[in-house]
Amino acid sequence: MGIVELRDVTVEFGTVKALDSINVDIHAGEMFSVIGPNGAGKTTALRVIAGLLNPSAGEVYFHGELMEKSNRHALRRQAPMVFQKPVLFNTTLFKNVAYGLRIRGMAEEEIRKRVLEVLEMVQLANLQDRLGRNLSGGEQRRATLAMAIVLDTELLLVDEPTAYLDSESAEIVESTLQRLNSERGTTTVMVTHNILQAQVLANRAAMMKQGRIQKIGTVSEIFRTELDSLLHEEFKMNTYSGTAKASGKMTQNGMLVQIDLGNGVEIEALSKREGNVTVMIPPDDIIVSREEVFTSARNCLIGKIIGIDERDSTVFLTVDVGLSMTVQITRRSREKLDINLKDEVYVTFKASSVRVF
Amino acid sequence: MRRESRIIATIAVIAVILSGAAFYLYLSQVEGKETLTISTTTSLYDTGLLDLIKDTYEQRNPNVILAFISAGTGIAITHAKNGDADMILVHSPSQELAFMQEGYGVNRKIFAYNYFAIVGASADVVGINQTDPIEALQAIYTYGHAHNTSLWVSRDDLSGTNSKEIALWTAAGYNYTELKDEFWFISSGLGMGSTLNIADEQSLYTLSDIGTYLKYKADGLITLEQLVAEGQDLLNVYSGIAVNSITVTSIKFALAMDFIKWLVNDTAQALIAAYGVADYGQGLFLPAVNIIKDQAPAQIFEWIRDYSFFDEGGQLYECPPAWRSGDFGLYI
Amino acid sequence: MTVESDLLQITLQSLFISGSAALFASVIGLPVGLVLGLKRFRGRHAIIGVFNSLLGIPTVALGLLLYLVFSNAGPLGFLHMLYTPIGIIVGQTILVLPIMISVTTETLLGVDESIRNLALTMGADEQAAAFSVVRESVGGLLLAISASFSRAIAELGVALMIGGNIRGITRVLTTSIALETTRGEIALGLGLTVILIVLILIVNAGLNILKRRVQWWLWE
Repeated sequence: MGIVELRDVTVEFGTVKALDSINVDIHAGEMFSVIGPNGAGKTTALRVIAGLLNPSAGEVYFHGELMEKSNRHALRRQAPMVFQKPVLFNTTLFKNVAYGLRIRGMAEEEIRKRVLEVLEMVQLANLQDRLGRNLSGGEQRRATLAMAIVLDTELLLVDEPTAYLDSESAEIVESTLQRLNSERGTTTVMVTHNILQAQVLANRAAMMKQGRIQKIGTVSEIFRTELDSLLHEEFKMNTYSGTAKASGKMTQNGMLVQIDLGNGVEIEALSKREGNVTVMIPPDDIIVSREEVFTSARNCLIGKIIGIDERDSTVFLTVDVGLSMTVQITRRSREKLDINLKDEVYVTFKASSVRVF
Repeated sequence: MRRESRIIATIAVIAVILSGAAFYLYLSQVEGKETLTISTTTSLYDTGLLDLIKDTYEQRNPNVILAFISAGTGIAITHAKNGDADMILVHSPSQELAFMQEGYGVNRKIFAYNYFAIVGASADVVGINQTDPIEALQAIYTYGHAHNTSLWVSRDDLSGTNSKEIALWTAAGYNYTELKDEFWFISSGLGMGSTLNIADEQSLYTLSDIGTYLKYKADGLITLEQLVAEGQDLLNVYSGIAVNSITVTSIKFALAMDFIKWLVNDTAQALIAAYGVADYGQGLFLPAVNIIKDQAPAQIFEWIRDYSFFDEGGQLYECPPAWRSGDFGLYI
Repeated sequence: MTVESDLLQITLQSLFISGSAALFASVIGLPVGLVLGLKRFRGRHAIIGVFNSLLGIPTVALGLLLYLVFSNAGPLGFLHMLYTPIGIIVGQTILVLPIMISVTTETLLGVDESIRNLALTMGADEQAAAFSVVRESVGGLLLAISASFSRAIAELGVALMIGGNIRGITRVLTTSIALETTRGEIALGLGLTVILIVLILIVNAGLNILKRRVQWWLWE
């Protein structure tokens, strides 16, 4: 029996089915990842488990106990959720993190001890008296994580823990989640659209699309057999093999390497690896422009549009830069840039966007 | 915590003290006193005469508060009809007559008079200086028709001044309602002061009560000149009328009569005669009570009689006997 | 009375009348705004819409309506509120009530969802979550009060038509400004205007200080 079970859970917003008859078991102690494209219903599923959203149909069980109106408040306390957009109360960091414990009526001394311990964990201890709104985006995200983990619950729900985060904060968040899971045995459900993150952190995963679960199983089941096709079909991940060599250059984020991808294409990436590597570049991390853009981004290539694939509000462009590279842009920016087949464009991406394996 | 509480407490205490002070001031003004509500025409109030009358009267009658509501004659009469005022001080004989005929007003007493003036820029493009008011209006009409230019501004607000203006245009042979459509004829819809300002800014002619005009002129707010002044046609007569306590039962009739009696006695009449002499070189209002009593000077008396007395049984009265209520020794 | 004591009396009277109006509007409007902002029920958005559209009610129009109601010939004439400070207080309360309610409601709606969800997921019950929403809205609630007071003390229509601008009784800053301007006493009118603006600034600054205190205090 799982710690959480969803049975035929359906959520309807008006006529739209955000969740369509979902069945999931979350096992105690596991790190469970929900992946899928935007609008797949991942966040909705998490909100149902958190007791913040009433399913239109179906049941949610907590340790076999059906979640109802009468026990929702009690069950909610066992499953705090960390939202994708960090929200903090308008008070100091310390009082924010202490909020949940105070509501539970814990003694002030014990609260102090636990809050400081958790702030240490997310490396914010020195900022405990700062107002929430005066924290940076990454600090705010770590703060909201601290607010949830200070409660020391059996289950933790996290929505897109590292989306739009600077690499330092992302690393702290990821390692905190890992530590919690391995040291305290906290069962974690993590929603992400970052398939690599799911692969690294999670034991099991569910692949969602259009409100349904496409696939569910261990990470190795899901990813090893279908990683390539998933990457290519769902995420259009750009995957190349190449040869890396140290460039000797440093940035504030780390070492840069020079990677030769063949066909005269050379890119820079943040990595310490050398020799034969696999390189992945997410299509939505690449910017397309008519003119060469001068930014801090390390990589700028020129190429020709050889394919345009429109899907709802997003457009996938295939650009020949010597290699074929897929770029995800919005329909609006396509219209704005007036991009058509055979046009010459520049593709730009940061060294930190390049994943090296 | 203690500091914050103290600050909040201080703010609260200050707020309470201020409100208390204001409320106390209000109570001390009102407590144990009776309020006589008088709706009055703006020219009496805005010149400041009634402030002086209020202070003097309240000093002699410490238990009475005079509450003046300054409005045009039209609104003043509406207030009185609704029982929202105990008496009125107005200057529009035709409207007063209707008010009394409808049974709302009694014991009318004329207490002051002065003259309206046709004022305009000193350049006087039409050339009405020193003419007769009727001729002046006819000249303005003719000039306005011949030239493509704004020439006259009218208050058009049914005030006593506006009624006078309408009567003058009618006497000159024009229909006021039709005049309002003429391009040279501006309708301000504003009080006397604002209308004078407009006339001054745009070099227009207008009809003004003398009090407001002299005040604005003396304060240097306008440079307009009195072009046609005094004379029978420009007479302006102020009267007080008590609201009929039989028609409107809620009003304070005795109090109103007491004030009217005081207003026509020699002290008040002297006060009216002297008001403004020091500041403007001439009085803003002229006392009327003794002129009517003595029927002298004869010419002025006849003007007042012809302009503002009402007919009953073929005889002219300041207040026809049918509309008198009680004997307060007001009439001979 | 001298000009100085007149000025003081008029200023105090303005503060008293409009302060009372803002106070009464708060006493009535804050609970209504809290209900509209926090509770979900059928017809709620229609009611919010009504109050929003009442925000811009012209003061002279309200003054005229209230005159007809409070006149001795009107339905509430027996209360004798016409030409009294109490009448102006009632009129201004009605005038600023929609501001009070709308600003309160909109503030609560603005912070509602995310803060409410945060409080709930942190383990608050519905009541504590609603309290969190209110606590985050303190700035907006005080803004509602200061906007109500400012509108009340700066309005002319109600004070003139219900109060009648009676010296010593219902004369307030705005009616004095209007009177002194028609009297041609421009300098005096200007002086009164300065007093009015300074009053509004002081009250708003005071509420701003209070905002920080209250927020701090609510977290203790």
